[in-house]
Amino acid sequence: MQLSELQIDYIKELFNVGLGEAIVELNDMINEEILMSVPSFDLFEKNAIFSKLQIESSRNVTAVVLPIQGEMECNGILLFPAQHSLNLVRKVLKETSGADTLTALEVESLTEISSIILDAIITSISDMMHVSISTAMPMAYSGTFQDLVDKYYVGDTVMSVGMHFEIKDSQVRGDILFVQDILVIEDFLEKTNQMLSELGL
Amino acid sequence: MGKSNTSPEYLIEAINRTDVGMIVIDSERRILFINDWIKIHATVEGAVEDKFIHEVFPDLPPRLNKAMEKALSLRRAAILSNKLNPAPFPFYRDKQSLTERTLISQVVKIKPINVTEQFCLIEIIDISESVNRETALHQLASEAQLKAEQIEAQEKRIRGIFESVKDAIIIVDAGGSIQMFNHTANELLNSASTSLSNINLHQFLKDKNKPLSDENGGVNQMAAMLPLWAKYADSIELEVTPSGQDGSFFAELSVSTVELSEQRHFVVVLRDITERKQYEQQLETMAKFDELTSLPNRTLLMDRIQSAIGRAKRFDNNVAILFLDLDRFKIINDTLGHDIGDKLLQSVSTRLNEGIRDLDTVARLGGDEFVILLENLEHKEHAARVAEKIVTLFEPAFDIDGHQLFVTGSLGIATYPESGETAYDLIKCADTAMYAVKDSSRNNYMFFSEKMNENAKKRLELEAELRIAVKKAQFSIVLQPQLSPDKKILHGAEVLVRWYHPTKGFISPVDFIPIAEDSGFIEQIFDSVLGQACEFLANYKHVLPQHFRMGVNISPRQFISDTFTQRFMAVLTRYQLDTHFFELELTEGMLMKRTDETISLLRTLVDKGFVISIDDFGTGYSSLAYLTRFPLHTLKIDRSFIVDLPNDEEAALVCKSIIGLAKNLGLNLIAEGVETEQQNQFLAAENCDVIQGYYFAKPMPVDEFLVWLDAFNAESL
Repeated sequence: MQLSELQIDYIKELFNVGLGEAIVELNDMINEEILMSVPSFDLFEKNAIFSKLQIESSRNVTAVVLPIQGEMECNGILLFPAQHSLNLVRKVLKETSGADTLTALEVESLTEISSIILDAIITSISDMMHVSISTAMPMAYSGTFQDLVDKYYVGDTVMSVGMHFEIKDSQVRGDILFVQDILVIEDFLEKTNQMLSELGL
Repeated sequence: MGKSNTSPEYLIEAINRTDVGMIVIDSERRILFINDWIKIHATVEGAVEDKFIHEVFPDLPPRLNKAMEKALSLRRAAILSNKLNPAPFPFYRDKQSLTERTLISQVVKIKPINVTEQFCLIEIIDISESVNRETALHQLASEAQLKAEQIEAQEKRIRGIFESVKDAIIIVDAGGSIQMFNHTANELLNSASTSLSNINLHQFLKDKNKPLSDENGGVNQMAAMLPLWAKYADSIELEVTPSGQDGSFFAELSVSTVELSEQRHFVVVLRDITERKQYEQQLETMAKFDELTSLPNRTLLMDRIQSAIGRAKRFDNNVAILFLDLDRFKIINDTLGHDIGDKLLQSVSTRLNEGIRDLDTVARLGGDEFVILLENLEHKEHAARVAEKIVTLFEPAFDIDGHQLFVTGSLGIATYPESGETAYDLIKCADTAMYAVKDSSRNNYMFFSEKMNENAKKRLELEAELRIAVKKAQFSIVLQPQLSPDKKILHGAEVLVRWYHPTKGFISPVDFIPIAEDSGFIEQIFDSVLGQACEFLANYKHVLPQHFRMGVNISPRQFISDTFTQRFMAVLTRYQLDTHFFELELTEGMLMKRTDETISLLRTLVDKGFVISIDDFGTGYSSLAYLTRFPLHTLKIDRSFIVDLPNDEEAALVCKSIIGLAKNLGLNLIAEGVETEQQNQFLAAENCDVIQGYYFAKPMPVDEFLVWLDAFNAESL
């Protein structure tokens, strides 16, 4: 499925607006400046995910999954390389040291932070596209990438948005993934085109 | 739910019994329902239903408010994690935690519920236990980490010290097997690349040149030695052979016990003391051997003599000490330089060492003095044979840098037990005997005798008394007139020195002049003599004949002194006297040494107006060729030729020859020791110019001389 540059720009903008909201909310919470950006966007079939994200199937990952219901049913997933999730949480919580894996309470915080980001993005999408979306409880996942894909990648198409955090000189990389049926994607793209034409583009 | 409350009773009961707090609010945020958990843990009084949630809980955090808002308006679920929102609701576990104001640690979940209208379920989960557990775990972990960091830092420090010390530190188990070692240990012991770990220490050690090898039970020996070393020895010196190497070095070990893992171990500190050993050896060599010749020095010689005496006592045999002094070595040093002199001494050492038995010792005392110690002699005459051999050893010339040097030696021999019983006495006696050889013939040897000792003692006494005499000005002058054979003309007088000792009376110049010459007092004595002579001249020159000349004897020591002329002139200036009053009497021996320098010195003196005469002429060796080159004025015929005149034909012949020689060379003549009329007549007949002797006058003190002068002047009028 080929997207025009215009479509891609629009979608990236949706995400950027969402991230902007998330940053405001997170900054209020943690009283620490966070920078976030969306450097990449891609759309591919589910089975291409390993090569596209360049993550080996056996690699351990940490992820937060937000089930999205309503007019755009899918799973929103924020995926971190293991060490990056650790960095993110410890920086946000201002913890200087600790075990080399996340504790249960830290996982909860990661879930909260991630869900705030994901929520802000889908709010941005639903606002701009006038679609009604609700969410269920976010869930944390820790395990191999293969298991994550098997468990939560319910659709056949993946919309992938690269994301980059910067907190207190620490670089954290993550991927926002929306996994959905091709029908949902087509619907999403149609709405995108509709928006673009409403804007006279 | 809500007021209608159509739900079955069990459902309400179930919800009330859960361990989760539940609050349901409507879209206007009025509380529709709270379960019993909330009632139990909240401090709110009375019914809360239908009240706004912010009325019941006025201080909810913005994050919670926003989450509720989103749930109600956008149907979004949210989770408030404990770490980011520790206790959004004011819930307490019990009365005690209420008084302590310890809130329940919570996770709050916000869930949109869409039934007839939009509601929101707020779940409050008590995770205090988890938080406490995690806090405790975290604390434990940080304490453990802190401890680990401290241990690591300390270990790093200790390791740093351990590795940086210049000594090898080796920790071995009770059997000597190496458990730990530092960098230095590896460098010192391990030239092979294998690890030192678990190698037994004994493999590196040697004790008294015996390796502590496996064959002679090295391991057992090691296990036995370690505790002993640790307990009783401050340090042990051993030879250490590094692995993979043939050579070894000297090491100092100190051992101490240490408990490691509840087992006895030993810390072995090993220091390479090769350098120290070398230094010690060097010091020992320096202390015992002469640097130039590598022969034993005085210290070692004394040791060896003492031991030789001990052995001689036990086995009833003889020890001989040969004191050797090279003849005229000083001349070689002065004329050819110390470098040649040193090389000559080295060659002499070699010849001496080759010429004696291995069991005997050649030592150098310093300068050109050597001592040969002969042990285990059956007869002391054997020492004479060795001395003879040494004399012959010097017969061939020494070739030093192309100079063919002929050196002879004078040897004094002292024997144990006849000459003395201590090393010191023996050396002293041999030294005395050597001086006796020098005084007589040189290039010879002589056994020590008691008489020598007496002479030496006398000499020493005299030297001490000379010192006092110089201080107390016990020297005076006498004058012996020198006249023409017809007694008509007074040419001058010879100045002679007299020493009147306060208790011993008159001491002959023959006895004390050589000692004064050796000890250096001659200069002070001369100054005194010259002073008195000048005083005499200054006082009485008006009554003396115009050409009157004083003969002054110059000693060899003064003559070679650089300041001789200068000092002489200073005295004359002091008395305002001219040089022509003085005739300087020198001996042949003095003139024949260093002839070129002598000629220039004599020229200087003559230029100043002095007159030079040769004293005791005929007793020494003169080269006639030189005689013509010296600016001489007078020859003084030695008294030994005069005494036999005129009847002894030989003496008469010698005198005639000397007189003839002087005439031919245009020199004046003085005959000394003229005692009889016949002698005077003979000399007058041979045209001798001047007569000095008892025949005319004996040497007289100044006052007596003045009386004699009066008489003489009266007579010649």
